[in-house]
Amino acid sequence: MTIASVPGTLPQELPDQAQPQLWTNVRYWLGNWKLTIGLIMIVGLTSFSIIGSLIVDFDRTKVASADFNLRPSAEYPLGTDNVGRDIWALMIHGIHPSLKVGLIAGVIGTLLGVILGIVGGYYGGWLDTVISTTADIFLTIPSLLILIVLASYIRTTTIEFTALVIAIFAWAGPTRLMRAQTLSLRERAFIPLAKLSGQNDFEIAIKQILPNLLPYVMAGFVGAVSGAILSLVGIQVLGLGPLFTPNLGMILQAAYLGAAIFRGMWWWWIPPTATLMVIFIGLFLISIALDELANPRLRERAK
Amino acid sequence: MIKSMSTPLFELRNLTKIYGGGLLGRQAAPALDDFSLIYEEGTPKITTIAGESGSGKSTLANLALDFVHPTKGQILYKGKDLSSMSRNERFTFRREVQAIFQDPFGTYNPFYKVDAVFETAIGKFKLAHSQTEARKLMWEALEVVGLRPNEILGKYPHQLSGGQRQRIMVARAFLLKPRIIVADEPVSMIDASLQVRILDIFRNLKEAYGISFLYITHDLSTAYQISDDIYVLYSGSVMENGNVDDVIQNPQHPYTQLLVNSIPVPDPDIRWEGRSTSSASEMILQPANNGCKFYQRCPHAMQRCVASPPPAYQVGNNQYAACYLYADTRQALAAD
Amino acid sequence: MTLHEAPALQVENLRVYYWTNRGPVKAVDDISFTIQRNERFGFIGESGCGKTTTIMAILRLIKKPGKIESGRILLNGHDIAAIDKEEMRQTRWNKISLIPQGAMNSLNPVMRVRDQIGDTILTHKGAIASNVLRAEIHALLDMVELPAKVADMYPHELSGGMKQRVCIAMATALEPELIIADEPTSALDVVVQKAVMQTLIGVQERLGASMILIGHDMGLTAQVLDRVGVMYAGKLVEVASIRDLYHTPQHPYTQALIASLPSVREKKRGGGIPGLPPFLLNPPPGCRFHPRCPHAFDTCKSVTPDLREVRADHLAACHLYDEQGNETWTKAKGRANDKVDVNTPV
Repeated sequence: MTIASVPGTLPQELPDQAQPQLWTNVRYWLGNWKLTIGLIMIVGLTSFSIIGSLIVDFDRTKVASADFNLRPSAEYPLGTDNVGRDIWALMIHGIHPSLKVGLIAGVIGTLLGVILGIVGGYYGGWLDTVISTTADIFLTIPSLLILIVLASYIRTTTIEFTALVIAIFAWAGPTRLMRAQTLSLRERAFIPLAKLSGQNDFEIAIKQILPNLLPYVMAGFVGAVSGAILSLVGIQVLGLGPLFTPNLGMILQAAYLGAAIFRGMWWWWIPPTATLMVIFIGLFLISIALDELANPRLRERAK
Repeated sequence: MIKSMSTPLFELRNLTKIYGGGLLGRQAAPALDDFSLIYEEGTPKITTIAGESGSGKSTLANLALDFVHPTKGQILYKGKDLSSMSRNERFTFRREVQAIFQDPFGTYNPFYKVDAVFETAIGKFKLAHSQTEARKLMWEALEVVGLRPNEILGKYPHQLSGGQRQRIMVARAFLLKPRIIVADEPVSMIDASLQVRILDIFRNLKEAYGISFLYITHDLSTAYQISDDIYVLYSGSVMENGNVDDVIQNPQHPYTQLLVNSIPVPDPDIRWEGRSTSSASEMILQPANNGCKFYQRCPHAMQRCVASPPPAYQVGNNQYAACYLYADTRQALAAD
Repeated sequence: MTLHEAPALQVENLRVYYWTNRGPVKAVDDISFTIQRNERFGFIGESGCGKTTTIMAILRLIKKPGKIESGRILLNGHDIAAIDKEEMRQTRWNKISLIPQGAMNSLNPVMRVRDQIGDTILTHKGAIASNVLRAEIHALLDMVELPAKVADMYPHELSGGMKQRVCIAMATALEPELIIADEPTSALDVVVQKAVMQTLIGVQERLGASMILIGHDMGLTAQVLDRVGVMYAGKLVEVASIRDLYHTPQHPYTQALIASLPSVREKKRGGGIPGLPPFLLNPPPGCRFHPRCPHAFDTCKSVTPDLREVRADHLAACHLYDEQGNETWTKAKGRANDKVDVNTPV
């Protein structure tokens, strides 16, 4: 640690009126169109799916609950597929499990990322070498391949279990992110001051470094969720996902196997595709907005 | 050197710090080379460590605050070596040796209000038994540095000016009632009109509260204003040290003379004398030699300067210069 | 300096405001000054006084939300505040050049010195034969007292002082009429600072250019400048020759500032200016310095003083001097009065 010498006198900043930090942040967030639209997309889709699940009868997602290959109509707004499942019901019951997997894997990945990232970044030494090398390995190897192999051996029956499997890879990105930020925060001048105030390393890691990681935690979380949903859809489309819960990937897989495009059954393949697009664009917008929050320079350009 | 009668408060003994070292076994040049300094009990003083970038002054600050360990030499607080202190003793050291850093913005964690810099220390060192008592301490400290507590407490760092933030740091140091304050360029980022007020506070802290200072700076003018004695560092070694009036008004070492001549005096009638040596002397890749560190830039360089570093010769009542120019006429200090 | 020559730079009633959602921050509020040919002029003032904004305005480099509200900037009689962007782009570097703060850190680390200087020349002069370019580069390096071999080196091989000299070379490559230097030696050690400043002055005199220097080191300004303007809270409060300013400052702010300068000649106690500089969003009415001024009286609180000649060639904006420039009020010269409440609200 060095006490670097910086030339010149500081410019006088314009002192703000005393506003609670939280309120300023919330106001900023709501003013950022990317965040607002992104949130609307994701939250909208989630609530649509959850509320819908309470209304629409689950039985309609079962095979042969209706006639095959029906076009959209008043009774079946999105028609049915080649084994008689109501696509509208499939969508409604299928969106929130996909998001749930993303959420679980995202939470696990981010939590691990924060813990491992801070430990590695702050303490350094052999522990850091082990953690960051492992994270690098997990980042480099093609996760989808490994997941496919794993999924085909382990009978991935439930949503929760699938989420755990996907979480095996979800922690690497956040760990690297937290570690990098910790490394840079460690050099800030308020760290030696905290030492002079009697705080030990553990207290410094939790009370000084962790609060400043929060913007990155959120950005890392969104990234982890996106990655998890992508992985999930990947294995689902190949037929390796949860079997008994309807989910978007499964719908897509069925549409593919049932040659939906070839047969002109647009009501079958367009809804899941469009929904996935909305999910990813929404998550992407949120992550850019969070990037801007974390990086003030981007914030200026956004204005 | 007169041997102290009682245990000194704080002693830096023959401190040397070498960073790195290289895989090929080649020794890197020491950042700090054989530095010694004593603070006696009962006589508070303000000692300046004057040096440019690369002089080793930052290293010295880090060593004195126990942020890095010396390669050679010892640091003793109240007679106990830092490296062999018990946990309690180390905790006491932490509280009694405080610091004020250069950057009045980076020293604040932007997540917390400025109160945190006080509250953290009060909490850890158990300086107060209740919230009310803590608040009272904070108020008193802020008033000592000339700030209005109700304008300061409860604010975030970005809501205050640089001058206010630096004064808060001084208040924090005062609140802890340390024995020694290491002040590393504390006023170099502050406007001139406020600098002098902060330096005055330092003087008051010494005179009224008996707090000693290790004042690290490149600015000889401020050093002259408040210190009692001064050590002039160059490339890790002490070139000259002694009473600040003598060293600055009557510098004996060629480096000190060069420094003092280069200071821009704020008087248009007293302009810089002469032209500085050519820029070729600014080339950074200087090969290390075993002699005097200043050899390559010294106008009086002699053959003997290359062979071994000169010892400190006594050139005044309380003034010592490490320069062979005085080898024949003055007494060298015996090595400790 | 012949009096009937047009001044190198004449600024009239310049106003630069930064528009925030809480209203305009009046960073520079109606300042006027003149710089003669070959003159070294400087601005003294503390954080937030507007000196950086002023030079950015002269270079038309003010970015949103800042804007030059009004005023004329006459470079050799030609109003550059009114010209279009393209013409300004050509004026910059050709006629006015800038040595920005931390210039040495903005050197491209992967380009050799000769390529960086060469780029500057070629961008503004168009294509030149390579041997002519090489000769020009060597001449420039010679002018800033750098050995020719520096041309082939990379920035990281040079010391801070040498890098700054390269920046000076780049700034003077096109022989500008006006050189603006923003804290050119802040990051340098005091010994190197002296050498680099002397080089800069040598270059400026050789080119016959004028110079504007801003810096917070008032010892440095005393050594280098011919004339100086003191700024406070966006206004010019005093303009005088360097000797007159340091020896007989007229404005109370300048007096207090000069009195607080640490020197190695004498030890002082006390001094400094109580209070804080004002928020430029809502500056105090009347004279902006009145809340901190030891001599403030009623008029100061409501009427803004004009910059008037109070002595030969010495301007000050203070109600202590009436229209004829005579003192209207007896005051103690020298140090600021410490009886002023330290925590005067601003």
